[in-house]
Amino acid sequence: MADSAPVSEKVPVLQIRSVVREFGTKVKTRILHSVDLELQRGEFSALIGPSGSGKSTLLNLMGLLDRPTSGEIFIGGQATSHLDDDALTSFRGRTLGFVFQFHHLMPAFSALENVMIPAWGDRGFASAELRAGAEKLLCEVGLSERVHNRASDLSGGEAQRVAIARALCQNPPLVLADEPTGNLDTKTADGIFTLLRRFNRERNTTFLIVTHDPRLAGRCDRIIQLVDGRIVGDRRRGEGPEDGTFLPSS
Amino acid sequence: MPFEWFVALRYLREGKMQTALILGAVSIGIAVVVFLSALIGGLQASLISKILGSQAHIIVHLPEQEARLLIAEQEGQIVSTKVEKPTQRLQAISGWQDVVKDVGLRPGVVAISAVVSGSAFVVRGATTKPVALRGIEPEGFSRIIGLAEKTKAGRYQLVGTEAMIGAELAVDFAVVPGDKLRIVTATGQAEVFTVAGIFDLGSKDLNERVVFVPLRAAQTLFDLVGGISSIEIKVADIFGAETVAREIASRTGLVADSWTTTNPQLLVALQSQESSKNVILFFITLTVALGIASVLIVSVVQKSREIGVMRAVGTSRSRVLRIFLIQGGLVGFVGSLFGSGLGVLLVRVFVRLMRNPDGSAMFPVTLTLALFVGPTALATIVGLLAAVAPARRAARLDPAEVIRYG
Repeated sequence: MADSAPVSEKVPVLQIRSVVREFGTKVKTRILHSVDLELQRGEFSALIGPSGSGKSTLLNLMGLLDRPTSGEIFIGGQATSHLDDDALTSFRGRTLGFVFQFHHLMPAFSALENVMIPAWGDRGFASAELRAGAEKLLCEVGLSERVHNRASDLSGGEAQRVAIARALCQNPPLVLADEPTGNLDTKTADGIFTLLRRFNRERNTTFLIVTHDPRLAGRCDRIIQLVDGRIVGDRRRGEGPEDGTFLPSS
Repeated sequence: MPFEWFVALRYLREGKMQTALILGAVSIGIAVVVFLSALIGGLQASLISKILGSQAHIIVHLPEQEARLLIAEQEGQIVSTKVEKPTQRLQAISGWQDVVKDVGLRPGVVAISAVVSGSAFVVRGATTKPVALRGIEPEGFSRIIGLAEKTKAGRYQLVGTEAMIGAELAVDFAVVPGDKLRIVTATGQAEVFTVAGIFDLGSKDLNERVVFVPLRAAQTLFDLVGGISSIEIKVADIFGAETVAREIASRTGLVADSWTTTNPQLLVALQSQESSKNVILFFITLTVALGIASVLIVSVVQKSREIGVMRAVGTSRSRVLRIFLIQGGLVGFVGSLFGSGLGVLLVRVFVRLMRNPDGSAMFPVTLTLALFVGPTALATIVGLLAAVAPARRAARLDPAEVIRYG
């Protein structure tokens, strides 16, 4: 199984400093306005905000899939702006896990092969250790019977479980989940959330969940609210009223 | 298995119909290449063997004799209004042993032989026939036109007063090996020769006109004791004969005629065949390349989201690039293997169908390893090159964009 990226418990898993993101060349549109954010090891946070607030842009920047116009993003204390594309890709693969709204598994690959992709694609070869670790992960997400099934033969909930196992394959300190339950029925969504929570507790993995679902956000430890490219709310459980109005008003 | 190979093979297996279609296209293209190459190669070999098999590739001889004025020409003074060319007498090449030794060591020269050639008459009983009498060194000369293999009766041997005659001449004089023939030159020199063997040079005309005798006997008959009239040469690369000939001429001061100057029509025929083959080869290669490229571009479009996810979770651009290059190379390579098999089948069917009335093959076709190695290497390289554009496109995909929008 993959080694965990060397992230100290004291250093924030993610630090965003004065990040600005603009699009366009002649006419520039600023999507993010000097955003600052820190995520600590083991946090289970939700990023909420209306459509067009810049959630996806921020998620892409946090996921190192995009580069900020200005500002700096640190993962585990390491600055990322100076990394070239290959270094950034490798760094991304080892330090970040992704769970997408749609599982985005490789349909022609088995569940096991899908789970191995991050480490396999990074290193080039699939070791026996990697294979054993991936199988163990599939067992942990409750898919021990589906290890060799093709991804296209899995149900929506099963596929999303495989996607979670894939995100954890390299044992990253941070997992970014974009509407991970958005495409699932309530019962399945609940199962997926419980699974994410379990990995958060057992592995001390930091999770940031981007969601529109206030019920889901309300079950997270921290809620970060983004409006018009600015963080307008950032509250931890216990900091607000304990009467069920933990969710910030939009 | 390396990640790139695993993904490439899985993609090819997943897109069964696309893979089968492009493999079919490559196979047919390569089959045509193999078939055409075998056919044209066979025709060329046959032509070369028929025409150049009975003659040397380069003949080295003395320059033509020019008329020499007895009075020195001065400006404004007419010595003669017409200078007649002299008749060409048989002349010996001086120092020919050194020339043979020197030229024989030149790169590309595989056989060399001293020859005395002249006109003579063969006389037996009341029958007389003019012939081209050639005095040769049997061992060296046999390496040039393979006279030993072309000996159909008796044996290839030229010792003392033995002679080798053509099949048609043997019929004309009704002789068999062991019979005697009298050979008389224009100057009246005569000698009786024993027929040692009867050859077939593949040409009725040559079989009727040419008589081979030992070099020494010809030297005596033509009054060239110790001398020779020409040096005949065989080269390894027949298409490089002219270059070798020019080099020999410049080194020796003699005239060196290559087969390309004495048989220009054969050269044109061979070059035309080669050109037409290359044109066909070019268009087939282009079609195969476009086919592979188009299928892979469709594959990149279909798989863009998967590529985006791979890139997002840690697969580098270069690895994605290699996934598609491998697919192109594999399609080219495997397609060429199928195509080679199909090409062999086509050749065999063609050879079986196209027969002469006597049952022999109309087109002599030889299937050599080179016929398959070349097209296979070409198809693999073309497959790789054709995959460059789709692979670059795949590698450049923006993961964030394709994951979101496909």
